[in-house]
Amino acid sequence: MRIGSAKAAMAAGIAFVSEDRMGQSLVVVAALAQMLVLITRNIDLSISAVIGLSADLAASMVQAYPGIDIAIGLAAACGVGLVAGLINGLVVTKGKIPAIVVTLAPMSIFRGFNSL
Amino acid sequence: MTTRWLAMTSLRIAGIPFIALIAAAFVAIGYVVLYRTATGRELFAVGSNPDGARLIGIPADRRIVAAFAMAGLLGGLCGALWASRYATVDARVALGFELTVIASAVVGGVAIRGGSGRLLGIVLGAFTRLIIKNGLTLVRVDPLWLQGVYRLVILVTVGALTLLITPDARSGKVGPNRLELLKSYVAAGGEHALKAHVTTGPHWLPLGFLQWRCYGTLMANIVTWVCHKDRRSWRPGTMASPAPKPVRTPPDLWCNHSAAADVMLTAWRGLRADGTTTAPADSHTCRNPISSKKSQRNLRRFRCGVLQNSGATTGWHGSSLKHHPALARDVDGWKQSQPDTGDVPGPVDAFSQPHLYGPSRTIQLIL
Repeated sequence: MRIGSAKAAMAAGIAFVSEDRMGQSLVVVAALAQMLVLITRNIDLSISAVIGLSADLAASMVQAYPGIDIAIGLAAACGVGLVAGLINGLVVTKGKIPAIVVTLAPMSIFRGFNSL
Repeated sequence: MTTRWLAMTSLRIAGIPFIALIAAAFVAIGYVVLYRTATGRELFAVGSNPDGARLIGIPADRRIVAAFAMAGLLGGLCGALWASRYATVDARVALGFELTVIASAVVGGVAIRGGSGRLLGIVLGAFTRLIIKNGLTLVRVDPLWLQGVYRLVILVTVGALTLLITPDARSGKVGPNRLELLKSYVAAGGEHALKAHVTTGPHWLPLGFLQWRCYGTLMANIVTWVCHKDRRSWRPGTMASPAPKPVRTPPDLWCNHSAAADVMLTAWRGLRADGTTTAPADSHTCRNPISSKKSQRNLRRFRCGVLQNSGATTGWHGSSLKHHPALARDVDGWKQSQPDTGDVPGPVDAFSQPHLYGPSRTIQLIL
């Protein structure tokens, strides 16, 4: 009886974890990105804007060039994110401005690009 | 390609969503980079103590730029996966998502002041967030309240963590030391030890505030217990923090037997059988232990054997103690019975010259 219920609970747990609810994996990847910044005593508020921008770019690429490979779309999205992160980082380090201020602006700017 | 693009995340390998595998792979890569490479450790060092990191030659600015770039890259990947998973992209993609992400990281124990954090923590933090949301929905909490409760959880966690990590204003100690102190209080038996620390130690806070602090520390301890087995990872400023100063405390009458014996020894010379003192005003105890009622009671207990010493049984009469300068002074009867060694030292007592006293003695007071 108890073993059965334990098995059921375990199965439910596995189902809970294996089902990707509410994009949990996306949260984990984004939290990993955020952690990288947080441990250097900075904060990246623009991460959602970067996600939005690269999602937009990837989707529009897929729509515009249906023939290209998936890898190219992924690489383009990653490249956009990389450039955005580089800009943030350079402004933070060269400008000696607190990261929370620096990344607040791209939060809106990237959203603006997104709306174009 | 569009179908393949959409199939990228809905794919399942052995029943596990491919997107979860991607996340797991990136967590694994992150583990190797953060914990197994010098660059990763330097990231922690930069966050823990920027000036110290620069001092020992870590290119802090480059590391920060690299961290931002890597975060951007992961964000871009996340965006691509997002476009693949939800298949609908507009200008409001991931609006407000940064708060979710920061909350997951902070609930997972990443210090917002930098320098510490664990990968397992952020995974657990993300799942904790999911469980809280699901649970609150299941018990039919109003969505308005759901946001409120959710933010409250984050607020409490961040507050507790900040309490842990902010150095104490007086002692300059940070979180782990507070945890250690709390543990020592508990281990040493609660109230008594607490009182002893508060009254004797100059290094701690007033009692009421202390209790309040303990709750915060305890809460933070519970919250982070799962993901922080190694509590040293909590400490910012690990790299250049000075060695902790030894805390000087006066000898504890109750715990330190040799000190207690010395105080009794000094006091006994001026004592009557009924416990009242005839000690002269210039008694050489720097803090006259007989002055308080409590000390008199302790002395009575000591004399009738309630308060015992442990250790090797060497009576104080006939032992080398008799020749101790503290005994050779001051009381004529004693002084004359001792061989005159010629040099009578100055005022000696347990407080000013504790090194004259052995580590542990047993004293049998025979009256």
